[in-house]
Amino acid sequence: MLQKTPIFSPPVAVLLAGVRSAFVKSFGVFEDCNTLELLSRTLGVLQTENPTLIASVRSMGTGVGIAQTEHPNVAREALLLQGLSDIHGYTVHTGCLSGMQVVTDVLHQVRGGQTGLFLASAVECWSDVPIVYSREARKFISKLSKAKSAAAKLNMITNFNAKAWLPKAPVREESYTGLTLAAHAEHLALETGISRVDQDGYALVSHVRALEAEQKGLWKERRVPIWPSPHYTACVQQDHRLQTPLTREGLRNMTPLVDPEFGTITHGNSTHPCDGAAVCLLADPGTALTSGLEVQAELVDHVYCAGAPDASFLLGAAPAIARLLARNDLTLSQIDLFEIHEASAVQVLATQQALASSTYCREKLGLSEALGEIPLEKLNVRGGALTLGHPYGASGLRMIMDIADDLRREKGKWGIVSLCGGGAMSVALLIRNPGAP
Amino acid sequence: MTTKQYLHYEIAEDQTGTLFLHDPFDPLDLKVQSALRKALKELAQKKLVGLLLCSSNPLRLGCDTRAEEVLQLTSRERAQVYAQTWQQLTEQLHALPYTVVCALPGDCWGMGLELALACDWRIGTPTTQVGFLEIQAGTLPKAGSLYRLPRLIGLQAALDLLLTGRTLSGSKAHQLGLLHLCVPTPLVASQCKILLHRVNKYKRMPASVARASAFSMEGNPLGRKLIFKKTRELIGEKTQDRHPAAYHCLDAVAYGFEATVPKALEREAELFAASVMTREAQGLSHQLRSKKQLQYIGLEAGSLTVGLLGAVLQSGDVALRALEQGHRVLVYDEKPEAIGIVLRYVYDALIRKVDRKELTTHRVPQYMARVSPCRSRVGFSACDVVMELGQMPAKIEVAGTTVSLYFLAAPSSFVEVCLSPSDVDATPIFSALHRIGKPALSLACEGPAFLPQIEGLFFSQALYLTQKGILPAFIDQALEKAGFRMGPFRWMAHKGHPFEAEEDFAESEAPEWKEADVVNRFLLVLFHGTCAHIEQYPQASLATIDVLLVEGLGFPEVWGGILKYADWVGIRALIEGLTGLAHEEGLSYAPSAWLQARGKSGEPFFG
Repeated sequence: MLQKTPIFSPPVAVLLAGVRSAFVKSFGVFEDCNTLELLSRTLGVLQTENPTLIASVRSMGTGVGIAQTEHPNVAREALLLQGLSDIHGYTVHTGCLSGMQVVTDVLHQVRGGQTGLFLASAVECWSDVPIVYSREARKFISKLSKAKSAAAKLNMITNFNAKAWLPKAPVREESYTGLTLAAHAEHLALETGISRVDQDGYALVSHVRALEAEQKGLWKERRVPIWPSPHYTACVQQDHRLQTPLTREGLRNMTPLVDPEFGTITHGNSTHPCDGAAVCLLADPGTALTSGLEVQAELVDHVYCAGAPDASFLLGAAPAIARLLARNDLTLSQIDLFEIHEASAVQVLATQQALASSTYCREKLGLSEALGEIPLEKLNVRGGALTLGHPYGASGLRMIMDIADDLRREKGKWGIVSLCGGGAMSVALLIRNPGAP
Repeated sequence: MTTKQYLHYEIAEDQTGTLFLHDPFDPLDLKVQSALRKALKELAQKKLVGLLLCSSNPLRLGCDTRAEEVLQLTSRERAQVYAQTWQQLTEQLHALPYTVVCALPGDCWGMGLELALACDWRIGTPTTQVGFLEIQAGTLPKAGSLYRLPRLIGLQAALDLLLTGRTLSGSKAHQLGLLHLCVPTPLVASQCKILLHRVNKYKRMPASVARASAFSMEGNPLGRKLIFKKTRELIGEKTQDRHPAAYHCLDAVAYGFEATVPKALEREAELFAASVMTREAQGLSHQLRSKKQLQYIGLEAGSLTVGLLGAVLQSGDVALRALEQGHRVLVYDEKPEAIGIVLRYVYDALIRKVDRKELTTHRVPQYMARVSPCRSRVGFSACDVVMELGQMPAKIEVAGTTVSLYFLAAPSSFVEVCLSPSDVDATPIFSALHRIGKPALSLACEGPAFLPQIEGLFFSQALYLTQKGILPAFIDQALEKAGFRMGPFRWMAHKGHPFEAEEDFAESEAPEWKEADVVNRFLLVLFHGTCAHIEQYPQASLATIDVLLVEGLGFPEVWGGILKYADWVGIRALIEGLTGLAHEEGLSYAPSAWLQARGKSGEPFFG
């Protein structure tokens, strides 16, 4: 059974400011950057605009989807680069949920009685993924350095298999299932019966919404310019995919990724890995009052879920949303806006379908009836990862900032951000508009 | 036992001595010379394990007395005696019958470095700065270094150091062999103690350098001859034969490498005396002394946040200098691509430093991260210094005070600050500019800045001469040969305003102007313009005017500035020239009554 409302109302964390870099397809204009540069540049802008506040921050957490060997604790390194040596910095790697993890960490700290300012950040640089040697080669290098005599070293060298020097490409398959996310999406489409036409239709809607948002300048304040190394001359300010509009024909003509003949998942209706960074300034409500900044959103509660890595691998958002609503004694209709991560169109549609299905809600969530349908006009109102791309860690923060802005713009009260990620994990975060009655 | 005022020595229980040179250590002071002589004589008679030579000021050993040497040693004989005295003193130090260790934790210039070279061991730190800067004042090292240095670090490295006058960090000096050890500052004292106690084992151990091996180029007479020949050609090419001290230095090293010690030292002293008496040394020393008088007040430690509004090339230069001083820089411009140009400028400069091995690669991102491009002016209110550079004149604001400033020509690090009203307290501005590596020059008087006016005269004269049929290239060539940094037309092109002739010069009949005539004309015009400014603003600093002309207009540094030049050739000669010019070109060039009175009195600008 789902847990009911908490007895008392715990403190919330508030969002005071947040910026992000443009999200650029990997090996695009950020191809010579690394996670450290992207993060420190984005942090630098927030620091420049709020110098005194940033200087008094207590800690900064950074979510990075792909662990970097060159900058293992990129949070601390970025702080040092920006001259913020007094701030504690830590880095977490929980795949797509990394960005949300650092935000919910702040919420935990505030609930635990901590006060002050906190930075939650996330970065991803698919252009600079670590490529490692095979286990055998790594073992050989370690043992060679420990070999005491020249004869022993020579013996090791002569017996070593040259093939082991071939580097290992980054793993994109889930370790447990051995399937890529696209393959999992394909399974989900089969399971739920969501057709290619529906998926392409949703992708087009998402894309059009993103283009409209871009034209209205909704990301203007959030998206900061970056002058990437090593040339520094180009100013990157626009999300990559917004520059090449998608059409219905274009979507229809795309070849499926997994099964070219019968598959439904294409580049058009699934997201693509990209480079980007985001930084948010959070605080407890008391500190927010004295900071002089307007409170942009209240982060009220969150729920993490983990399920079996089966066909419902990408359906994690549904149980997370259901539990979050139950915990806070809210109904689906009371939520004004939803930001559900668009790993692929089928995933969003399946989540929508699952929450509206009484069978799913009864069997999987233990509810007596369906939670209800998420209306399309409340769902991802300015598009999402299908268009903007998916810098693993940074997507969560982007969604929080987007929903915070949309709630204030549309004068809504409640919003939910939900992501599912690798390892069949998911999170849902409840956000309240501080200006709403 | 002690001569407290200038130096003193102490002997510890373990029979190690320490000789402290009191800062400031003025080698020109006769009392310092006699005190050192006496102390070394006494120390030579003591049975010590070893001696440590150090300064009372951990930040420096020796002082920069280059300009004072030239200006105080007024005759060749005095200069020669001065050099011989210090040669004897360094020889006395070198001949002490036990190991002498020199500690150089800070800067080490001039006589301090010469004394250090005479020691057996030199221990520095990574922050140590050493260099033979004498060449910049048109003189030479004089106390045996021209003889010792090539033997210590090799001929080519020594010539490079001596002829360029560049400074080396402690680590680089250690690599070259100028320092035997380079240890972190807290370890210097203990390391010195260790060395002093291992006297028997390490006594007079040579530096870890590359001494001239028998097979290397400098190890054989033919190779050396070739090195000296090539260096002489290079000096001619670089200095256009306007720098006699470079030739003197080369001659002294070449002679010293082959000759015995007494003869080498004698030659060194002779050449030092010859170089001190040259007009070039006088001009360069005048410049150095004038720059020393700039106001560097109210300096405080700590990092600044420097906001640069307007991304132009000067912003790149300011950003780079500020970064090098450890400050943080914000850049804003309405055009994002302009910000990119500034970032690129800084990055390229850092990469050049990496190529020159002055910076390690991993430091580049650290520097770059401290330049924050901004998307708005938000955040500039929290800056310690805000410079508005997109317009002329540029502006600087520090602690609520705003003044105009002019950047001098590109290679120069100076800016001219225009104080209006003149009683404005610009101390924080001077301090901030100095801290971000852009020392300020100010004539401290009301009215417009001096340099833009004189630049106007310079360029308008160039255009006027072209109307008389003289080719722009000829004018540029004449002035550049005379030692101007850049001819007016090349300069205009460099600034982005290339000169476009209205007529075809190739077909025009060029008048019979010689290069010297062109140079004289420009000198007269500059002198006339400068005197007019002094007459209008009598409180203007004359030394600063000379620095402004050299740094801002590219006036030949070896002449020291137009006023120093006037002192050298005589004000009367220039007044006669102006009178002649007035006859030819009109009364606007006529010397004013004030100038004529000054000429009659015969009073030089610099006493």
